[in-house]
Amino acid sequence: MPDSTGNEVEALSDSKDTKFDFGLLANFVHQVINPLNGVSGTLGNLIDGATPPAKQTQRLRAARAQLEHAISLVRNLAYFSQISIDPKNTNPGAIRKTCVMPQTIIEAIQFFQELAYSRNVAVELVNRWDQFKVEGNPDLLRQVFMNLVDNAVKYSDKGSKVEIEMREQKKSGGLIVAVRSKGSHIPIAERKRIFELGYRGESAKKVVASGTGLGLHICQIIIAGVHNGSITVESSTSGETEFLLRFPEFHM
Amino acid sequence: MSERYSVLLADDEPFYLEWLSDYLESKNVEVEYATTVDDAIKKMSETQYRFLIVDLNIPVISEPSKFSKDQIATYKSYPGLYIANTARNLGYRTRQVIVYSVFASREIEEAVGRLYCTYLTKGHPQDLKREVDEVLNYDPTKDKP
Repeated sequence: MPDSTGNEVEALSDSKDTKFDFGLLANFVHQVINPLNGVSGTLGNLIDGATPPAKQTQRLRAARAQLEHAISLVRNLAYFSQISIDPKNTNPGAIRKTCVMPQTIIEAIQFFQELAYSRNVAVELVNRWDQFKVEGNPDLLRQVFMNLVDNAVKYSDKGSKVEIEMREQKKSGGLIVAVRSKGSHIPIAERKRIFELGYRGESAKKVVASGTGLGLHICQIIIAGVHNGSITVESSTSGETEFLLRFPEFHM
Repeated sequence: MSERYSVLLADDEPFYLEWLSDYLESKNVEVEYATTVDDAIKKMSETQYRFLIVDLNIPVISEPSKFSKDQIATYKSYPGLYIANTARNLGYRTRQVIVYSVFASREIEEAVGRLYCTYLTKGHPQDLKREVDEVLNYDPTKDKP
């Protein structure tokens, strides 16, 4: 089906991806209950006086981060439903705004400060002053970076650094955004399937047992389907992993 | 001053359990974390804990040995059962092993039931706190044999 920009937009509702998947739903429920359970426990402690006064502010910050994480997971599901049911409403022709990349990325990073702090992982946008801009959907792009930063923080080694870097690809004139982290090696067989709906590799399961298998799939839909770009992943045997997002056009 | 105990929390996402650490510490209980089955089994071999709290969904790095084919079939889906089973074999009493999970199913209940452990579903922190209180207040030396 051609969209207003003349691109082919596949209606996911016609594809096998949208068959109602109870396994996906079960994984989703599991993932969303964990942070909500954390919020409930934290509030209960504050009411019962079980949190030492010196820790109360930090615990409230952590609870807020957990709640935001739960919202982010629900957002993934919401975007997935939205894109599946009506892809034309999420393509750049429908919602086309200027996305200031450093701003979008920093907003995404802020959601995971508490989780990063708890794992002693530093998250840094290397060249935050370079005002790369792309035309697209800022909300969806922020969700992409939230998913990537969430994964990078969760699966990287304790005490390591997650780096995000934007650069112009001289050859194509496009923009590349790299999200780099250091953790377990992702074998090539897993990298080939990593953006599939519901897929979780064995290397990921050895770090965190459960996950939705939705986040990276959403990233691919948003980057490829909505921004005409691409997302790929590389991983070295020493555990350095890099997600590369390519946007065909940008301006400063 | 009351005796200080230590508890093992086997869960791969400790960030979501800071509230439980706070609660246990308010009861003068020291908290130790294990984020994989392997880590938990190693820690149990080194330390005798007052009790254990085990998430059924926890990563396994290397499949533990000494389990039957039937057990492995179930334990692959709920790896925390490896920890619960090992704990029971090490002599932890029934209520000293609390397992919890997001899901409640007959398969889980039967598997946990065979180990005579306590099973709670996630999402109700008050239930877990209540169970913790009861275990801490329980004195096994006063129990009839």
